[in-house]
Amino acid sequence: MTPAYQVAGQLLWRFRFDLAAVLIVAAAMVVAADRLPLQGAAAVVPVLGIVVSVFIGFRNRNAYNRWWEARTLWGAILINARSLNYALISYDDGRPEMSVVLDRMRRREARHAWQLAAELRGTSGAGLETLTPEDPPGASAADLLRRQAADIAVLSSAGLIDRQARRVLVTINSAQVGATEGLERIRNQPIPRYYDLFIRGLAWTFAVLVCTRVDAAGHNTVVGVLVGILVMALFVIAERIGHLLEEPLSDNVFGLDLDGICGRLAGDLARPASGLT
Amino acid sequence: MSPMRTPVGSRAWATVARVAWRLRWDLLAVLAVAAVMTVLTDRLPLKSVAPVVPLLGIVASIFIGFRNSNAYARWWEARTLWGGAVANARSLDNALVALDDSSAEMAAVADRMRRRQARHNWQLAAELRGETPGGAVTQLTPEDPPGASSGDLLARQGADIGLLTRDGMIDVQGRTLLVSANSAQANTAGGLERIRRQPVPRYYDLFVRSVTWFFAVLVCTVNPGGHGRVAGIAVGVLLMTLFVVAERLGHFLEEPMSDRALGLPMEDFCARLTAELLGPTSPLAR
Repeated sequence: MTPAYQVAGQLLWRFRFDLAAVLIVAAAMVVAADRLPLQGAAAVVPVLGIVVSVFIGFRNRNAYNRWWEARTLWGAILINARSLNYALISYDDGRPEMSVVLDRMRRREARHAWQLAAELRGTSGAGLETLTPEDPPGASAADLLRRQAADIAVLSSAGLIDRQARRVLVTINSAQVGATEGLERIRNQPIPRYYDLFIRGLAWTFAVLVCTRVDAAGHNTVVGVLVGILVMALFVIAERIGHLLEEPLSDNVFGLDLDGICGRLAGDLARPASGLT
Repeated sequence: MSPMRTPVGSRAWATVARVAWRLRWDLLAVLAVAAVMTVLTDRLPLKSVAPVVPLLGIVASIFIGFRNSNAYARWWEARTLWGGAVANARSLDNALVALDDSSAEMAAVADRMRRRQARHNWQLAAELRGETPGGAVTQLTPEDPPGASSGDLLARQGADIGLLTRDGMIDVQGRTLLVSANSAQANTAGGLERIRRQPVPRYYDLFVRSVTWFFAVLVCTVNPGGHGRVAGIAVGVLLMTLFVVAERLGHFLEEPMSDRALGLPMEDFCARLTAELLGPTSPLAR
């Protein structure tokens, strides 16, 4: 587990521009607050605080659901790969021609997971073709599942598996298609842009108003200024943390550990000394 | 994987401008109410209302939050169902590959089924938007009637599964797989139609909107900044705008399929699905 101070450091670095903006706004307000005719705004700050909390809470809840759905779908990818492996073990009749196909399907299932992780991160997945040299180097995750289906047809047409086994393997393949699509959906479909902008705008409006008339201590004390900065930073960071959670697949630092999951999956599928891990 | 980031994947200012234009009447109403209240507030006996405004603000926040939460759930369900349509198309395609007996007869039927699956999704998207699909869509399967609905097309998929079975091209297990894929697509289409045709109850919509406007007017009535000062009026207008826009954004989210500008990019989903089923050179593929 990453130490807490390291996580805090990474967060601070990620939010450096937001925090710098908080400090700039606070500094400007220290100078300008008493000159601006916004004393009356103090009365609406508590109401606005509730509104902002409701919306940031709403955003963070949805972001967490999204993050958890992504993790659940990666769990399904792992389960589907294991199910395929167990099914292939069950159908294996020991014939060399069958072993060749089964071995290829296991390697392709591992490549599919790595390829999917690469696509979700927006990288090429270069080097993964060594897992299944039988497939084209540029095959996408969807292509690889289609090739799994073609190998099911090979097994079936050669009489290596019966109709029941074919049905089970196609069902597992369809489950993997569903999980893959779910992950692509989360990756490709962010929260609506107008909603994102509205909540961010709301958080900043409140932050500025807090700093405008603010704190009970007033702008003429260091404590008052510090309280204002802390409250501003709190709301701005809360909103940004929701944003981080919303992108569990494309963020290498705060996203899900896709490499760890793929490594485990490959380990489950690999026979000893296959080198998949 | 095709890049398909967002229906409104434009710059922030363009999004703000688009939303502002859509909300132009609401924003004008906010300004009109603020102007009227600036004149009338001191003449109306509404000073005693001030203590209830924060409380009403909490109530309005809860209702707007509730509405937005449900609207987002509805939007995400629609997006998930469209993802299901893509997954169903891939599953059907993969099942046809797995069941292929390499005969020319089967290749012809499988090709028709792939084209029809693509057409079904385009047709579904058009029906959800309340539009008629273009000629390129009906040309995907000239074997089917030009006016076939999305439901008709799935029924015809069922008929082709029957044909494959009767002619011995697939066995009963294969038939089960294809029927399951067709049923999954029927479920997906039904879910999308449900979201499109069943808005949030009208009385609820009106109630939340009324609560929002009531609070907005009261805020302006007891403007804490004082109506004699520009800054006080600005704060009142800002607060009114905030609540009204928040409520309207929930309304946009609630209609993810009928709004071309702010809704889901259904044509992108269909194009991607067509590319996967029929290849990237298909006229309807991206």
